[in-house]
This record gives sequence, structure tokens and C-alpha cells, in this order.
Amino acid sequence: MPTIAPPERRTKVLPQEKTDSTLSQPWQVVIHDDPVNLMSYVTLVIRKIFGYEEKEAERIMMSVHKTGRGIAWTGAREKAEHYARELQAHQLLATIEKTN
Amino acid sequence: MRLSLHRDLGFWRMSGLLGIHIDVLRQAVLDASMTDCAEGRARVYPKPVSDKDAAREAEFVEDWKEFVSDELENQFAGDVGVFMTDIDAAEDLRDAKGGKSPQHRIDVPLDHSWAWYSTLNQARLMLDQKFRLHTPETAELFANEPRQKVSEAEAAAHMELVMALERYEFFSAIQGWMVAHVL
Repeated sequence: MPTIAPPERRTKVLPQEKTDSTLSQPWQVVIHDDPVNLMSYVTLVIRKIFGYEEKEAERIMMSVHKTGRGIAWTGAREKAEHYARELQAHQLLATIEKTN
Repeated sequence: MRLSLHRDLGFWRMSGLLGIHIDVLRQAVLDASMTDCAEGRARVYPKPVSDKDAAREAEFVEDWKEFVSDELENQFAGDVGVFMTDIDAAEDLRDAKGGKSPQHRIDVPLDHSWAWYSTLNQARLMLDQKFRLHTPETAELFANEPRQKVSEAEAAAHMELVMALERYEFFSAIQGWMVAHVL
């Protein structure tokens, strides 16, 4: 029985598309510790702005208090900017940054 | 009668206020002023990104300053205005009670509460910046026995610092109550 050679496989290496992966990278809203704002107030503001339960708001506040910063929210940049503005309107120290 | 705070229907009341309490509350407006205090201004209107990202996000930071910080400045000034209006409306109960020391009462509509908190917070943020209340040097000043011989200027500066700290704590006490009862 004649053998049929299998077709030669050729793979074409396409040039890699240049994409900025950082564009799709989520952003996070960071609250920074400051010695002035009351802990109870920080918890209240987190609840008011993000709608979190008391326990979650307290967890974030304690992270701010103990480590100097707490991540309050992660997602699209535009919304992160909105949340940072709201936090600053309540005189909390808040910034946005790309997630690692 | 001592100073007391209580929540009522649609408002909260500060009663048993002495003239000095009213003066100290008025002082909050001056304390909140950012004139000649760049550090205070930077604290109340912070950048939206950390310092390490600021160069890369220069345009965003500039837009933030122009659109967000300016808007917040108007909002905070409005808060101070609401606060002042309520202080100006303080009732003098001298005649009604006939007591020796004049007593005052302030009724604050519940929907003014955030403006009050904001004003007292602006004052505390600025006091902290102007007098460096949370630095080790200031803590040391209060921890040590006062030196016996100090110049008049040193004594005056120390007294100013003590008064600032007392206002800071007074405003903080009101804010703590507000968080628990009216915000």
C-alpha cells in the first residue's frame, strides 16, 4: 500500500499586534491615612459613597489606619475618577492608580 | 448648665453655650482659611494620583485642578457660609433665663449637618497643617515639663499652639457626636 506523505504543516508567524495592555488594566481607588479625619467618619463616608455594608467599610478603614492606605474600589478608570472626586469632596485623601 | 448636644425633629441643638464657645466656633471660619498656607491647600485639594504617577498623568492632574478642585473650593466655601449663618442665628438666652453668665443656643437644621462637618473639618485640617499638630516635635512639646525660663515670644507661641490644640479638640468632639447622631 502506497504511503501518502502528510501535508507539510506550515505555520505563519504573524507580526504581533502592538497593544497597550495597560489600557484594559483596571484602576483602583486608594484612600490614604491622615491624622485628622475621624475613623468613624471615614467608615461612614465609605459606606455612603460605595454603598458597602458596615463591616466591609470598617475593614477598608482599618486597612487605611493600619497600613496607611486602603483600596476602596477597583474597576474602570472613569468610575474610579468619579469615586476619587466624591471622596475628596468629603475631605478624605484619595487617589486613583492602575492595579499591579 | 453645661454645653450639650441633642438631636430633635428636623434639627439638632447645641445648648448651654457660653460666649466663649460662640467665639471659638466663629474662629473655625478663620482657621479654615487657606490664605498663606500652601501645604494646607495641597491637603484639602489633593492631586488625584500619587506623586510617583503625577508626571505621567500631568494633563489629568491639570484638568483635575481646573475642574474638580475649583468646584470643591466653591463647595467648601458654601459650607462655611451655611455654618456662619447658623452661628449668626445663635439665640442669646440671657434675658429668658436671667442667669449670671450669658447662655446661647444654636439650632442646626439637619440638612446643614454636612456643611457643619465640612467646615469644622476644614478648620481641623488647616490647624493640623499650620501648627503641625501631629509631628513628633509638637508631641514632645506637650510631653515635657515647660522650661522655667522662656522668652516672651516663646511663651506667646506656646500659648497660641495650646489654643489651637484646644480648638482642634473642641471641633473634633462636636464632629464625633455628629457622626454618631446626625450624619
